[in-house]
Amino acid sequence: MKKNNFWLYFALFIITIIGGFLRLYKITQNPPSLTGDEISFGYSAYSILKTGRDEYGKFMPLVFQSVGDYKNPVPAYLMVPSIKIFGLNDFAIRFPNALLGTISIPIFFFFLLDILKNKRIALLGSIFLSLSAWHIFYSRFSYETLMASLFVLLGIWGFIKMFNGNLVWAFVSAFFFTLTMYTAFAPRLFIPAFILGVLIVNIRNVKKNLRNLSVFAFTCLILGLPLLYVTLFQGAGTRLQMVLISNDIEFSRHILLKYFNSISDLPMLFFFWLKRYISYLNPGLLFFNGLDATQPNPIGLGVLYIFEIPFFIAGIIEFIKNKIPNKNIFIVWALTGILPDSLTNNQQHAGRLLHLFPLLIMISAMGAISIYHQLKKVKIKLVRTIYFLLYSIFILIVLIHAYLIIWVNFPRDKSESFDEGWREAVQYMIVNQDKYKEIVIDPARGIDGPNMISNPFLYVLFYTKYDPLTYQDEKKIYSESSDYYFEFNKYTFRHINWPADKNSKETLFIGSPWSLAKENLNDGELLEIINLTNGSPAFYIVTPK
Amino acid sequence: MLPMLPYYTSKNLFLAELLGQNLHISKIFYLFLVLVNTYLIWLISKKLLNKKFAFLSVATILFSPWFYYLAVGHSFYFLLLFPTLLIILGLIEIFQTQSKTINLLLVTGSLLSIYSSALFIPLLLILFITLIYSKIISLNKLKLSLILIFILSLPLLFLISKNSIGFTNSLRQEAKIFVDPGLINSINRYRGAAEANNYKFFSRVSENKYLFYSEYIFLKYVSQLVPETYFTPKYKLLSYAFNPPIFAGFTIPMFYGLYLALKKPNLRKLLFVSTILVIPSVISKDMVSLNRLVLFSPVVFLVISYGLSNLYQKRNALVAKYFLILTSILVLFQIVVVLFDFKAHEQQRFESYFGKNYELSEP
Repeated sequence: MKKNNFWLYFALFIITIIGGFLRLYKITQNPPSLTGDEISFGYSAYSILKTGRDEYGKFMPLVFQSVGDYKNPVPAYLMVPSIKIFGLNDFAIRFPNALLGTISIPIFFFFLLDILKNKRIALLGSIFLSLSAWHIFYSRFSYETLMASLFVLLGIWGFIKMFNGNLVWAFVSAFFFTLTMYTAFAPRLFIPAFILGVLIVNIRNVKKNLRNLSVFAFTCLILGLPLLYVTLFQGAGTRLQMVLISNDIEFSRHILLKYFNSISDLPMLFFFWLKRYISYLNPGLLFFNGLDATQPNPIGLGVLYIFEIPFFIAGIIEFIKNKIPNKNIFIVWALTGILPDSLTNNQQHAGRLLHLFPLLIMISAMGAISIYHQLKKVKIKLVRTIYFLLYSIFILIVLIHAYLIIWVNFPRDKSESFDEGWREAVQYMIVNQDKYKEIVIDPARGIDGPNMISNPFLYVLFYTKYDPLTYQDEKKIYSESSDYYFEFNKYTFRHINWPADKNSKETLFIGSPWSLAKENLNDGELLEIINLTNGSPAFYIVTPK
Repeated sequence: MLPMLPYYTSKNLFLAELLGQNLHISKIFYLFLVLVNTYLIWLISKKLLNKKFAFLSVATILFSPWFYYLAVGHSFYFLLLFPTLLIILGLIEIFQTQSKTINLLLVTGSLLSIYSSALFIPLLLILFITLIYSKIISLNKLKLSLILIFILSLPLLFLISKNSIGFTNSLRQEAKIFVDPGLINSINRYRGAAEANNYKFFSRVSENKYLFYSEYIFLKYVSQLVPETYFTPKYKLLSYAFNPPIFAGFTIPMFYGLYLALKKPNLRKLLFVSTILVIPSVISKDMVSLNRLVLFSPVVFLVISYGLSNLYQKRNALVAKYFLILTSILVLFQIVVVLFDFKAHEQQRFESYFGKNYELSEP
């Protein structure tokens, strides 16, 4: 190893350690609670570990039915070894994601080094990724699109190498691209669009690489066939139908002024989609508040930091001006990367854009290097130093703001949407459940109203470490109607109707203040109050006297 | 407000009394203004682009809903576009010739604008200083015109000195960027949360109003320059329409034109300077005011025309050909869709926004 390279790799090691620290530090405390998705993945993984089957008794499934949203298999299977090592707890659930987020840093470095052949850009890119609030935020809880983003990076890297003539990379690329599709939903649209786009813009190279491409296509087909099967025949396509843009409220309520229900509305849908698509160049999303980590606020955290704006602009100019290897592949990456999120019925979502992180951060790093070169041209050293110092101070201020948002504002503002309170409520229940014949838990909650419906049975299964084999085999009662009702063992999950329920002796009730209003409770009935980080009551734990 | 241009559309105009239909006069005036402004943009295109392709800017305007909506909505800023275009035309003439004589277009445009809107006094100052400082136009070439503008604006300056409160109020009316308490509330919320967690010092450093106001101004500035503002109905024309200011198909030549312009240092510099014209929209209450942003529209139309003309010149290349075909298909398709949508939904959208008793068309 050359001396120069030693320091380069040493720097990379330090950057990775810092990145790992930022992703793992107090990971179980912030975000403040496991989300419904994390809990569901976690218990499925636990069930697989103990029985080889999911909670519905399906042997090693390729799609997890979960609560009817048919989840992807990779996140659950990645949790299996983690649960084996650390046990069934919050850390074990979040660890695989944080680990993949951390590993992304050196992999991104080597990707940049290999593709751009520029050590400075590679190193700066890895620093930006290591400190990226966007990447850190989604690394700190189990988030399938973050996992997929690493596989996308590896797949595209392999794809570029394959185009340069190496057959082995055809297998590598095909493997990671397919793995990506087993990991998250967004890449299922992105990957085919990306491959098609690259083939179109590289049509001249297709003939030269026909052998590699055939191997690539064949490998993809073989590895992807099971996914195709479960998508078509085992409900894995359900999620896709649920989130399609045609169900968007803005589209139906404000544009069509009725529900989308005929082919004649398709042209309007097309232009609505186009609006969504073009909107991804929104500076708010990119730099100011795209992360949605606080209450609605013009100045929050974006996909990139505010101090990266000049870098990003300079990077785009550099990208346009200079000869960049595989430039057209990067352009196709950008254009197709937006596609999945633009086709969904929700607001723009920074998380669903994670497979674009290598591209955005690469441009930012290129721009920073370009600005550095411009700065070096300033002849007076003092002026140069002042520029440098002032901008460094600005960067520091922005990083402090980011720290405060993630560690102070986010837990206060968003804890409710992260289902905070269930863990504490269930832990109280575990300690006291022997005193009661029945435990009734209301799934509806919310500060402003009982508008959020969770799946508390998953929290009960998870935190009680409920034996998966028992759960798979035992009798469960659930409602076929739209009313939430689910019952197993002595746990019942339904809406609490206190005037009627207050006569149920030896029963423990867990519900929000909306279903268990304080003024309706007699002295001694209220056993415990579970608060959110911001102090609002999330749950009351009550037993009739 | 310092009304000069609006005066001509007011109900006191003798022609209005003659016809007895004030709103019709106003309508005719605005339709006439669409033609005049389009003609001026065509003249600018002729001077900046290849003469053969100057018609492209006119075609882009004619195929874009922006001017029509603002004309129907009797936008004051659409009126101000006229003197703005005169100023741009004058500056181009000065830029392209060696003459140091007075440029009447520049003088007329400047006087019309500053006598019409208080905002144009600082705006023109910024524009001239930037042009001279960035060495796009030398002070020598501008000197005589600037002196004449100064002399002819003396009555206005005298009036301002007599009624400084009125002038300040007028400026305040135009600069409403900080009237929304949302931003200051958000700063207070951040500060409160941080202080409750013993981060008072860090919060004071990174979450103070000076920093947030600067960031907010920057956010607004950048928001004026992104494609979604022009090619999508994100910011609604007249607050209710679904039609974008410019049809989405023109994004392709826009990006191409921008790509070519950014490659050339001189054009890059000109583009950056031209963004001064977004200031009126930046200081408005809304994130983007399409009403005010119309002052920047000539730049957008020119970039689109630049992209279109270059695509046409390279039409033998496969990619250029595809881009041209795609642009044409998208624009034509959107025209058809807009026409049908206009008939089916426009009235309903208008009513749901303004209420049924409000009419825009007939007096």
